Amino acid sequence: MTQYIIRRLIYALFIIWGCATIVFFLLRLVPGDPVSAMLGHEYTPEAAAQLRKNLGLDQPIYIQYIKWMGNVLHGDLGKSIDTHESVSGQIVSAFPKTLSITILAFIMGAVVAAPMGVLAALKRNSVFDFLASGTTLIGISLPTFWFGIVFILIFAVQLRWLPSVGYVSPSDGLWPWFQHLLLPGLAAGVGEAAILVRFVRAGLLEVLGSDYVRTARAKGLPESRVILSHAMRNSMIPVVTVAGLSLAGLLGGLVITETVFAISGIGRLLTGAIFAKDYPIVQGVILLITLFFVMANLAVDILYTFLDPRIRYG
Amino acid sequence: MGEEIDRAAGLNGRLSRRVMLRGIAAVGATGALGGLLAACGGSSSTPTTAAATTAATSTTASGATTATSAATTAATAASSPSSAKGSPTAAAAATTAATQAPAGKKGGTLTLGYNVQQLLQLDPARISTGRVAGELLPQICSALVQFDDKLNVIPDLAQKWEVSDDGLTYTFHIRTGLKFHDDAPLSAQDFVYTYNRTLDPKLASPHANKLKSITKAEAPDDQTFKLTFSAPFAPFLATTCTRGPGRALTPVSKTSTEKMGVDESLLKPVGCGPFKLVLDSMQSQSGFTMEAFDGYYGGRPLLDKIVVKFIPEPASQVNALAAGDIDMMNEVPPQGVAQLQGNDKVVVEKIHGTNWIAVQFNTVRPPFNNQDARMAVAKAIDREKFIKTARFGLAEVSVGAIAPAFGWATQTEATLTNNPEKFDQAAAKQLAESSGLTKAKPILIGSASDHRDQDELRNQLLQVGIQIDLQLLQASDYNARWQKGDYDMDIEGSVVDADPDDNDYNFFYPDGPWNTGKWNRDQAKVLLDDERATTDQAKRAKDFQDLQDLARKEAAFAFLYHAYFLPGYQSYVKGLPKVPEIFYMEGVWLDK
Repeated sequence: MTQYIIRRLIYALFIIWGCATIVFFLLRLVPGDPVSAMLGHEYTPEAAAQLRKNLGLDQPIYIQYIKWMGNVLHGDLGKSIDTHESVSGQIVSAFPKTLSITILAFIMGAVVAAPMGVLAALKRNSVFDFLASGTTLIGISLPTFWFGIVFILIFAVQLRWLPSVGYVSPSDGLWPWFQHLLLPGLAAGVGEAAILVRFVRAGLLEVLGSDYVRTARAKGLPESRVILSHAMRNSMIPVVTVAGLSLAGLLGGLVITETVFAISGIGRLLTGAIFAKDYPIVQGVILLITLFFVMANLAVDILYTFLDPRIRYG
Repeated sequence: MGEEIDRAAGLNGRLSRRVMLRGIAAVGATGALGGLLAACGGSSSTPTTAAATTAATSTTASGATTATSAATTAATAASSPSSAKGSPTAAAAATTAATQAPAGKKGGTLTLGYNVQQLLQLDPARISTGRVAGELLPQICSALVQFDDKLNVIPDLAQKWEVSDDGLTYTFHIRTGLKFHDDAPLSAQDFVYTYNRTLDPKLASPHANKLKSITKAEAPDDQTFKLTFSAPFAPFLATTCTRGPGRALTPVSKTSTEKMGVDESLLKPVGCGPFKLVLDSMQSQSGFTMEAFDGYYGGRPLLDKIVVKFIPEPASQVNALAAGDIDMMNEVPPQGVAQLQGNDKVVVEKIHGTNWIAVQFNTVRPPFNNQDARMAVAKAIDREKFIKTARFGLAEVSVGAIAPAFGWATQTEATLTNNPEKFDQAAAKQLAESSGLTKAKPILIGSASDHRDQDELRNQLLQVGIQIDLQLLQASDYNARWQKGDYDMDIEGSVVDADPDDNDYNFFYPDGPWNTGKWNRDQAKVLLDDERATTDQAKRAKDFQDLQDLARKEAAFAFLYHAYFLPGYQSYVKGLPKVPEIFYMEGVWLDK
């Protein structure tokens, strides 16, 4: 197992390097120019030329790449073209916010998905099953921003139970921090829960038809034990796969939720940088997101071995 | 100035230029110019102010509209710099008022929800978006002069000034006892530093060109700042010296700025305005905090603190105001006004701005190198319907590139004897067919994040048989194509104008920086050179009007509308001066 993990980590380095390199060159192939975006209507050829020189954008692309990669290897992700702030600093500032929403969304998803999916599988073709299917269809189909705005209108504007926008650091109070996270976590969690419910239901249904489950029942085991000790564990492999990728996706892709709730997380940081052609930010955040996905995949693969002892890596 | 706002990310995945242009009213500086000349006093004539009045109305939550104090666009008779010698007389009262502490309840924190995806610059020399300059910068940075709520230029850091008879020398007399937020004293030398700093190539300031006609900047003593010009520049004070719009000469502390360096000072200006930026609070994606500055020359502001929260999604901004999570928002989007009108705890102001929005044509390539084709588009637009659909009725019909707030120069449909661009669908159809426009499919570029105007234009042009290829682009792509002139049509305009020259020069001057449609006419050059050189306001007005007549006659632009400026706030927020597109918040207080 140790060798397997080391091998995977080495592969991860190549994957991260490859993604970072592809993104570096792709960004510069896309039409548009960060200097044009920065100067806007104040654009003059003289100001633009000076700005490009100041930012090193007038150098050949391969020189820019070598310099950037060299800095990355020294732990320096560079500075934002737009604001001149350190990329690492901006990521460090944004990441806790995204992480907070992600964890809350994930927990909400899991808390809803597990029992709902199990019940839907156990009461297949019942009214509950149809309701669950209908609800999850709505959850998957309706966009996150719709849920976000509806939750704001109900819970913030009408009822005034929760704040509508913003983020409070835990250091400024755990309760205000949690209050500000509830609505964005719920909005982001709805879609995740809907997907997980379907996977839990489908996975469990498949396993419930297995011979060993039939044997367990024939042996007179309580139904609860049959489900929880035997069926659930084996049905979790596809669920864990989806959950792992979903978690990584949340960490890098909460841009809609963050925009609606005015939370300056990783998603907004990345999207804003893409629109503004702020290359260092895009490159830095992509590096981070690639790392998330690679680690998530590795964690999921390791988790498999706990769920199914037959799975072993050498 | 005349800018479009923040295009980065948009302000706005949502922070797009279109979002910015849609709701931003510019500061009318015509009154400013008149007020300036009034303030400067006169040897040959007495300046008069307040010709046309733009009514500023507040729409309360119940829908009742009350006329507040009129925002006056001053049309001063004494617009000659030869009349601008000596101490300001009309501004004496304003000077006194400016140095008195504001009246109202002291204390409290105001939360301002600000519609921007990310703040890119706050250093005055490098701010490229007019909205940030008009709404955020004035709290932190004072300048030589400022605007009153009637759009007259009144003293700020300079308590008086003179302009020589030939318009080539400006002498500012700086107040004594001024200091920056870092307690460094402010003197005339700081303005010389600011002048040199703005021109420094290392800074790549987009405002360096505003200083190009200045041949000398000097400080003969600590309280005197003197500028010598190579040629008269009539809009100089309004466009270059005002608190907010006039960024080129807005002073920052040399000590702190040099200590921070070029990078850090981009977002952390240390000025001498009524509020001090809490430097550690600045987060370019989230917001920042400002604290009352005890050393402000006008007396400590009433508020203890202003917390600025960046809210990129306008709908979220409206909801935050409705929910009471913010005390004020910089601008209510037109589609959000109806939601807030039902809320009796919220006030939405409706102020005539100085912006203008129009269809810009590429006049050097087919199909719009043909005047008939351009005129077909201009005549095809039912502007009342356009405003109702695209702007929710919150704009006025435009007949030219001078908004109603510039009362001394503006023209309206009612005042024009002949408007060739007037809506006439039958004539539009005929011109579209005869020019071959119905067979072409011109490209209209627009912003991907906000394209209501483009959609409405496309629909209206279809009525006369003109099909267009609408291409929606991200902000940086849009900018790049617009600057290169890679379009057939574009919906453009100008906001936060301190003077009509701000935008007219850039859009209409042959090879002007915003004249990307290349409508180059010698007559336009003559008119614009003349309006800059003359200080006779009536003459300047005639120049601008002749320019608009020419633009309409040739359909250089198809003029569309002037948007209202719509700031919104809780009903307990008091004391906000109603200067279009500018927030001066030292007198704001919370009645709760």
